[in-house]
Amino acid sequence: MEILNIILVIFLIGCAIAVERTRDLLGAVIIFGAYSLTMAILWLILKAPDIALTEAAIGAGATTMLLIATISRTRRSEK
Amino acid sequence: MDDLIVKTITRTVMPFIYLYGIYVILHGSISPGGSFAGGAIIGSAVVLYTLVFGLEKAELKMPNKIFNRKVEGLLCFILMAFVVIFMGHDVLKLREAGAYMIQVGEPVQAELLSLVTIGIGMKVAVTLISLFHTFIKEDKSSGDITSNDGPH
Repeated sequence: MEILNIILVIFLIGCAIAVERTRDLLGAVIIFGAYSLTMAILWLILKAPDIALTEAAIGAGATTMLLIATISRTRRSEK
Repeated sequence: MDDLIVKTITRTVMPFIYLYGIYVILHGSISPGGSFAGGAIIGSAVVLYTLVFGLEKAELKMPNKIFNRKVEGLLCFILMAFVVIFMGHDVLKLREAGAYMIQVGEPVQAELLSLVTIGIGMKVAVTLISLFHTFIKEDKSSGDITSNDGPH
């Protein structure tokens, strides 16, 4: 369990850095979805299933959808 | 999106997402989740449908008329507040008025609480869907203006 925790946290930090580094904005949104999913699993490990469910629904669902809608209105790649 | 695999999987998975959202809403008092998370799940299902099948089909499924359910969700919430007041308690003190949070293993007796959560869930789901549809529609109507930048 400890090892899983460490792997997830490292993956979370990697995702956070990758979101900032990616030039392709649609790719950044997808990586952000992976970040939200990892965060939801971490909330579950921290024994907060309520927040985990909300994070999975809002972070991976609503935020991603709004960002994709925004990208569809503007450019896809960062200048 | 013209992919057979994505379309088939979406068509297969949608009823289960709806069912899970309704389950989360109705069991908000005994299990993790609640009306906000459940409403967001149901809204996400319709957003998935819109992304895969396009706005025209999604508007057949979710016509503009249904966006008025937002008001009904709010009215449901307000009505429950008034019911509790008329029963002689403070606003939304459901526990005093007899709508207990259910204990695991007991038979369901929190109908009042379920009414409130159905109202909130309806409002959250419809707000999410209408937000996304409005976004997409504005994209279409103002497509000529932004076409110089080449929207994708």
